[in-house]
Amino acid sequence: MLRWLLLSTLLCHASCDTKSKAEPYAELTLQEEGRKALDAEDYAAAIVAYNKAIEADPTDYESYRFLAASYAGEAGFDLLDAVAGTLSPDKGGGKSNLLDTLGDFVPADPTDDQIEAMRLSKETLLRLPPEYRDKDNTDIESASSAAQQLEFYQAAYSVITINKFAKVDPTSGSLDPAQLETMTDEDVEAILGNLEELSETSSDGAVGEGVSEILAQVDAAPGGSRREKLIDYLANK
Amino acid sequence: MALGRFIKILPFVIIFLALGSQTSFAKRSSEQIYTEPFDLAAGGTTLTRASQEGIVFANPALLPLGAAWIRWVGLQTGFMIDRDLAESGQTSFKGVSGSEAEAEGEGEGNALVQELFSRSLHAGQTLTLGFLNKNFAFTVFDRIEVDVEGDRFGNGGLPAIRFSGEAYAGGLITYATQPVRWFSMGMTTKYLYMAEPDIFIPVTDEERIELLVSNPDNLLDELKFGTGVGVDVGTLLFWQNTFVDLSLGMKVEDLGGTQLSNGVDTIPQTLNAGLGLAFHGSTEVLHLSLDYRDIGGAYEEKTFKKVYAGARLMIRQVFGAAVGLYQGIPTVGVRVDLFLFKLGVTAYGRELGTYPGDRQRNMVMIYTSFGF
Repeated sequence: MLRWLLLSTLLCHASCDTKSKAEPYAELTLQEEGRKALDAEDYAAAIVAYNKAIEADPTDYESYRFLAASYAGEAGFDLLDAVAGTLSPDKGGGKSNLLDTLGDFVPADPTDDQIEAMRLSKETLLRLPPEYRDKDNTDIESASSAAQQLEFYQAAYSVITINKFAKVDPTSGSLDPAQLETMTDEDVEAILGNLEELSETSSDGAVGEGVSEILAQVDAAPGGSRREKLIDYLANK
Repeated sequence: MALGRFIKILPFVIIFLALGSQTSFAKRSSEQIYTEPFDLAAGGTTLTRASQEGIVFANPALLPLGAAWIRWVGLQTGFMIDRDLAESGQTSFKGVSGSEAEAEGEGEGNALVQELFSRSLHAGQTLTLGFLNKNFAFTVFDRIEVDVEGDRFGNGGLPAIRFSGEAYAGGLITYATQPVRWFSMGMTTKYLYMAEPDIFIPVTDEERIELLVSNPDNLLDELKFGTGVGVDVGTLLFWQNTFVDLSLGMKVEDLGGTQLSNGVDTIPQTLNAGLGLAFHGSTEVLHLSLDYRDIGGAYEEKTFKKVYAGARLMIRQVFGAAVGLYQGIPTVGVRVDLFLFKLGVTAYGRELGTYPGDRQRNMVMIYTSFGF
């Protein structure tokens, strides 16, 4: 009897669809609109909604974090993939270098729009008052998480910018030196300056340690200028 | 990475929360603390019509309405589970119950993350024991529901695991009277032992996870258990003829607010109203009902979360079928009454979030009762 009751109930429920019938009648706040779009991976819509929310209330600091996540999504950087992927031996998890690890989770051939979106992602978090993105601030519940979020996005910005120039030569299997040579001083500053900024704000933790290690290796690379050192480091990595 | 350690303690955290929530809870929505499962099938409408022990939670003024002096004496128990889980059954359960073993392999840990972030896990249980006559009722109950979901952007855009739950236990004493044929009123005094934990654990937050690994008591600190005594007052106006009944129910729930012992949480007072229409045949009855909860907006919920609509059909007082809309989500259920033994199934949905589709849970509940 139970089986019959269960089957008939589930059949009835399935036939009448479980989707909420209230959707057309509910008015959403800007934050809810943003969150709904973010969940649906409609990052452009999420960016619009959260920008409006911040415009309406510049002290809505939670929206800054969601806006940053929306920009990161627009840039093609999925933090969940990155975090979960580090458990996968054949993806980021098999690699010891932060650049290589994150490199698996940002677009390999990014467009300028994606790089700009990644920049806006970190810049959005940098607009938070410092105490709202301080890893050691226990008075504000979200401060520690916001600090970590900023670390990830800062690192991802450098990585996605590097990816623009790091093209593998199919014949040699290593990075194409000609592509690396197209890197301008401005690009180098965007990459290294950002990593230095990250290194200063994040002296401890996995990301901070990884960045410091990279900066030391770049500094130790042969070359007269920062550009030459970075190109040499990338070419021989 | 931190997530690896988190996955290793995940089964422990789930069990811990389930055990912890047996001893406390806190309220986030204007939904009733307990709804009888057949009433759930009728869209959770209860203010003008409720079943068995559900009367005392729904509207105490319903107590004098039955023909029999004893309305219900018995025990009812039910188990609910996320419908998607129930349908895909064993496959889904393997992903969780085997998680401890799987977490030992890092590749499998990744699979668990995918599983956690692709669907929610929701399950619960209810148990009631009650004596109800036309004027007086005594009921004890518990309801525990645990919800675990991976929320990809849950922590300000960072991935987080969200643990939430509703755990209620307590006793209710109800008195009701019907001074005139068309009016009844009642009052329920309830002792509640409750908590509604809602905990986000960011999967990137190494320090927080470390804290949990080193001392799980820290998690206990985040569950705010409370006890409190509250009062519900209900009234019912009804007009009846041979074929049609019309009723209007009103209830003030948690009169004056119910203060919990933790000194922080209060269950706010709500005003609720319902309209019912019943058509009588020779052996069957069709009840149509509409409830609007929290008229004053104490919980600041959107309108869709306060509207409940449903229809119940009872044939020969043996077979019952019900359909409805619970916060806009379709519900359906059937029940068979065999004198001392009753058996039923309800498929329903709840919106745990703030807007339609935010955190919707589609549930199936199987329940049985012994009594008369």
